[in-house]
Amino acid sequence: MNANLSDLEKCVVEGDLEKAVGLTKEMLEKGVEPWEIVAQLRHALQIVGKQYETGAFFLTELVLAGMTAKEVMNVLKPVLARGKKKFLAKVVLCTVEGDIHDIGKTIVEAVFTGAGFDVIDLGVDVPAAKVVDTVRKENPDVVALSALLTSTMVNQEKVINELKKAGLRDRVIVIVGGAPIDQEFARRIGADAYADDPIEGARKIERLL
Amino acid sequence: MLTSRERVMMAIQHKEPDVVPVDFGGMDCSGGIHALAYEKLAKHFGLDEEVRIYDPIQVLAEPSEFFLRKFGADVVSVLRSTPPTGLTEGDKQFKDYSLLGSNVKIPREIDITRGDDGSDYMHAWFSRDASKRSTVVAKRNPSACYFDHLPVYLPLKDVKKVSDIKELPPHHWIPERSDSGLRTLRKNAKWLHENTDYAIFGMSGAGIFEMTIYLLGFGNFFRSLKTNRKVVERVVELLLEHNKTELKRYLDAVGDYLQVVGIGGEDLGSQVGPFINPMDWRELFEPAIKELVDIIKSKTNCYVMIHSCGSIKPFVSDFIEMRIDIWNPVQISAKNMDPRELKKEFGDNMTFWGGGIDTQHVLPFASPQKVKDHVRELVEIFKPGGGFIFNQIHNVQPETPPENIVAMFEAVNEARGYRS
Repeated sequence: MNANLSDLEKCVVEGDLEKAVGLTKEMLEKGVEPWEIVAQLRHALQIVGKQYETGAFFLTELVLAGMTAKEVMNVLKPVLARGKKKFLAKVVLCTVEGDIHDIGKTIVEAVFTGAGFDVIDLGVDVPAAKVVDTVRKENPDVVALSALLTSTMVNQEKVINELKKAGLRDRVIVIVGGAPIDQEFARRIGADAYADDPIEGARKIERLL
Repeated sequence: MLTSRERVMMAIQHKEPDVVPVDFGGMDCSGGIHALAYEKLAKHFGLDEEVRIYDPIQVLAEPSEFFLRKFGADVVSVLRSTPPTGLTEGDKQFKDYSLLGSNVKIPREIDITRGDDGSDYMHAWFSRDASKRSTVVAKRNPSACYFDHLPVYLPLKDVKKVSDIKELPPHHWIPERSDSGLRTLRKNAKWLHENTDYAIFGMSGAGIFEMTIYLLGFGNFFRSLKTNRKVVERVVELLLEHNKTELKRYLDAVGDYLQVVGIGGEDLGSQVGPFINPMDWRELFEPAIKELVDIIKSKTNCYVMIHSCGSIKPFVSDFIEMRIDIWNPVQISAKNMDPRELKKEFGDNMTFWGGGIDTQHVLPFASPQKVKDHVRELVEIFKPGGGFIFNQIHNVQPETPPENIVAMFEAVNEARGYRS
């Protein structure tokens, strides 16, 4: 493996943002294929995900790795956009209506971006109609919905119902997450997947694509 | 039959009282009932009650004496302003607040303005520094049931070095009590102590760990933790300094009358695990929190409660070593928080104030029968040997049907007895 690539992996795992961005720029100048760098990022996030699952890593490491991978992607994106190869998936992401919590969603955005997805972040307190409009316009592969509250988790179902009404449900994978959400709730509201954490979420999306 | 106060004290001393003590909205942290759920509950009983809010961020209602008696509650907060209370109208005044079509009452001093976007903005009305009182510290979007501070107010989110932190910014959860406010609190504490047999609870101040995150924001907190610890240390130092002063004033005012003192919200975990490595917490935060516990233990005979949400099992032994007597809210719905394991591992040395019902998955959504089965099972797990005060894993959420709240307390009353 290219020494810089393995260094980059280490930087992402350790959350060393500045060094990771510097290394990425260096590699691009040297002519390293940008998608090769993306693959390395994804590998790094998988390592972090495994460590998180086993309890060796905590939210700190997960967030810092996500933020680092996202910054690297921000360097890569203009270069990737000039090439022919498409992003792994286009994801529309938001926290649902009535809920302005953005911490979980921000971590998901960072990790998904770092994992090589093209993420459209609609923000927080997003009405179902806005998600449907965005799906119509942007034609994404995935809709990812966050909710922290028991009073707003029902709005994830509302989005799914509105997608159905608009005839768009079958065109997208719907993944849901957030503190009160679990597999049973996801199944009941007709979501395709649920994830405990964003790295698991990225893995599930890849399996469903 | 024991008095409520005796019952609570016995439970904390790990002795079996006559029945498991119950807390319904008496512990003013996160074990209360949302105003909208309370309004529906009162209507369910045919009562036209004024809904008084004691916590404007979480929008929590003060239960009336009717419900304290109805549900067999044993605890009241020293903040209490509806009967039984030692406060008169002159001590605490309320004003109307419109919450999603309902009219509730909030303390008159709270400054909330309606923005052009239809959201409500809460200002730093509590600050001793008048120039800071216009600062927006929390926001309620038009369709939201709560005020939120995390997404809108992170006063130290951009600090990069210690010299950027000049002073502790105002924050809703960091008390800045006035002398007259403390005198009023003392009057209430004394009255409740002398005229009721409830156990009296008081929340003394802000948490150290949780507040560090609230001030820096998660992003800056995690970055600083890894690469710039001095920033974290400085925030902890400022919080400890402020908390120590406030805690001593608070205990001087009410310490003689309280049975339980809370040392603030110290949420250490998310739904799935600890926010940070427990080793880091032990190094950076535990010594500061221990100082606060030691102050309470040296100045009063009160028991000490820590509130810490989330999946936090690795920290509970530390709490015990720090001489913390009570842990709330015991979020059994989080990962690695099996109630049987918690009781087995920590039940001899830690009192569980909470863990009695899952408010994330069961209380708002299940049938009354399922609520009852769930509550009975948890009460049976936690009650042996004392060390358990019944309370939810968090606030009763706004959409909770009254029938489920009734079912919850019916099950508690059926299962709470120690001797048949």
